[in-house]
Amino acid sequence: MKNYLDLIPISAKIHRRQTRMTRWCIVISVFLISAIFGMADMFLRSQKNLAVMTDGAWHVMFRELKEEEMALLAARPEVETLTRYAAVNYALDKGYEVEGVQTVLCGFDETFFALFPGARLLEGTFPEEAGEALVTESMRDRKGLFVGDEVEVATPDGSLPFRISGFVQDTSMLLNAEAFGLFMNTGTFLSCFPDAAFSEDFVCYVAFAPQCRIQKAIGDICGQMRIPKEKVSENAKLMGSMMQSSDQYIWMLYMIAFILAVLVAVSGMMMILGSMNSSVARRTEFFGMMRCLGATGKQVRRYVRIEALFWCLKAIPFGLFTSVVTVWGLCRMLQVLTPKWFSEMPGFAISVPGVFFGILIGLLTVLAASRTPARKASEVPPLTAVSGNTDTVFAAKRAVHTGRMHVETVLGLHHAAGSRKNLILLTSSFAFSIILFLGFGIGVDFMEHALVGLSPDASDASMIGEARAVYFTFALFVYGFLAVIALIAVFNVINSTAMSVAARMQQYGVMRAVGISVRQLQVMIAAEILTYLIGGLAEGILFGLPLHYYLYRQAISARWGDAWHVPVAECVVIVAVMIVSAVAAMAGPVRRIRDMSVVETIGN
Amino acid sequence: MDIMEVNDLCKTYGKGEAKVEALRHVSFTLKKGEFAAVIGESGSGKSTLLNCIGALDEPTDGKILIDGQDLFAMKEEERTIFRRRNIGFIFQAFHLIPELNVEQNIIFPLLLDYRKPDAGRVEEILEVLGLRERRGHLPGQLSGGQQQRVAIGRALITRPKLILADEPTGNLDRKNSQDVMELLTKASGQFQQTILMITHNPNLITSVDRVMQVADGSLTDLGGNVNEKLS
Repeated sequence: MKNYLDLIPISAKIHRRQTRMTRWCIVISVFLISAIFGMADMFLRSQKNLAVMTDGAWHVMFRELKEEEMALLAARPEVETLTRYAAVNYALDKGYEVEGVQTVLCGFDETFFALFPGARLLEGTFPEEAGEALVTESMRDRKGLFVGDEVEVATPDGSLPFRISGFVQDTSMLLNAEAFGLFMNTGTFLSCFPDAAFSEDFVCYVAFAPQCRIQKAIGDICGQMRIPKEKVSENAKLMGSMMQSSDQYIWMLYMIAFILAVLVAVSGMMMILGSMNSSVARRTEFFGMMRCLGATGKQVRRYVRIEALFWCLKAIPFGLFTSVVTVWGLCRMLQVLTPKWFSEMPGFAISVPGVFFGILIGLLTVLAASRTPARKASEVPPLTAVSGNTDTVFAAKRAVHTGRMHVETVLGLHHAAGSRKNLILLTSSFAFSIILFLGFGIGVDFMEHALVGLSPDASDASMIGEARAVYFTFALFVYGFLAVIALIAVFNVINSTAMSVAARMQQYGVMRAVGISVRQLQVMIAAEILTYLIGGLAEGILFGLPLHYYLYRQAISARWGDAWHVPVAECVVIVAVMIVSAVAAMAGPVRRIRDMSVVETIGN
Repeated sequence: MDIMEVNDLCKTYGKGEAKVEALRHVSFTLKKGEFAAVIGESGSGKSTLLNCIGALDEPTDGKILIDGQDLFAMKEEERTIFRRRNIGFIFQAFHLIPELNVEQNIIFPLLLDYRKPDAGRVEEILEVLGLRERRGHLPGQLSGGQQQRVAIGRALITRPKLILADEPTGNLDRKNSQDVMELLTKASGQFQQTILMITHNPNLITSVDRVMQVADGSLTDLGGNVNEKLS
């Protein structure tokens, strides 16, 4: 040992059991944060890929631009790809036919394929020469065509001959309508249909460069080139998945996700704070001994904080590892269960934002959470600490009122409510879980609304298997997440109880010496926990319901117009979870009290 | 009449080479109203003896009978109830309940037993202890001497068969130590309480009926005429 801080790894081995809860809390917090950000990242990536495949990789579409305006647009630095596109007979009602089959005629630049990866060139090359065209595979198969063959299109103004340069995949629209498609370059198209240059079907798709602030770029382009807003359309799906959308509703969903992520981070912090307080309270004697041996308060404070960071060394990587594996598992599950929606889900990708936020928020949370316990440890008076007299209990300011109830019940209630600060801290910690649960409970309503008709209760008998799978996948997600929050609630209750009991252990020892039975101490602790529980439930529902109301209004009422209702089911579930965890939380402290050596505890 | 009987009491800590015999075959009895002191050097085993008699610690071997009842033949819950009804404790560090006032601390063992305190008895104890004016004070608002008087009151309230005092004056100055000893002597004489006190202060043993010495875990009865024997 060269430094007093070298004691940390040695002490970590000895106090392994006492600090186990804290280390698990860090793992769970990091796991949650990293998994939330990781899944959000994967979800956005898959949605982006899916949007690109279905709607194209373009960001904005401009209508009725002049040739010179398009040239100006293409020259802008923020524009990465631009393609012109025009079509005739898109509605298959204009009498353009190839041997009696309705045919859509399109003209576009070669860059089209970069912006529409869904349109695949199966054979041949892009029609660069005038009079060349690509045709759909159905035309090829039906007519037994080869590259270089001639094809004639009958139009209302006479026939147009084309030489086939290649074949492209059919679009679902053409397949459904049993129609053909014939695609030429923009030059050929405009020479065939000179009037199309001035029609509103002549559009220009633009993809911006990465890192470009798209909304600003659109504003600049429209302002400088005097393009009216109604002639600009966004690729809503893609922009939404890139968080660049101008859609207010999508932004509202992002905001809700952000609020909930902050709530998770705060709850993680409270969870770590609770367990660190508990761990420090149990080791008061150890810190007192350090003070006796000459450690300054500042050194003890530093010790506790560095010790917390020391736990992070293993807890953070472990939390990250479990989150990465979980994200992989969930992605795979989504791919298998609902390939239609999530076929583009990344397989074994690691989410950089997930890992980054897991480490960052994990470290910040641990550092923030270690402040109070570090201060408490540094304030342990050397003398009382060595005699085992914990100073972590809030000092009594007024006497209890004995007489109406049994003394153990009165003392339990007083332990909880005797100090307002203690009561607020503990009930808030309980309440936070409820608030979080009600906040995330919106997910259930969102799912019910967004996936209407997919639920197993839906009467539509034609509901297909995949739709059911979509519903169950979402349900699994939403309820899985609610279960994790319920787990945080359980941790909070167990930690708070353990902390409170650990801080009063010496007093319980004295009471045991004076003649209190284990059963009476059990009643005392139960009364204390019950006070926190009732206070926490009241506080949680008081603040949780307005949050639920706000989120419901923003996410559900704004979209589907449904009126808010009290989330009875969510309230019942979380209240039940809190009650069950409170009962379970009693087990540890009661066991410690039963096994406690009165002599050692009171330092007699 | 013997109120307490200790028979062949042994207490061993650790195993193998780390084995420490804290008490070796200790036997003695105490009569009703007797005020006895146990003296001995630090680490001699006197606190272990007191803790075993008070059922705070379990002996490795031997028996302790209080009022004819075998302390360690009882189940834990039964023993706890027996302790609060029959054994009063006075600790060196007072060990009062911080959120109970003077009066509540005194009647605490009765409250644990769900018994209604006798108002006359409480007044009598407060009067004897000189704490009537401070009955509503919290322990934190009292001096060390006053806190120890409260602890004595708590030990007296149930009229226990036996009071165990572990260095009751250890944290007190000379004046307060004298007061505490006077109170204990009075309790022994006036209320016929049997008291077993641990001390290493030779000045205190002048006022007791009988002195025993513990050395290396073995007990020697020095009898009543202590001063002569010690000299």
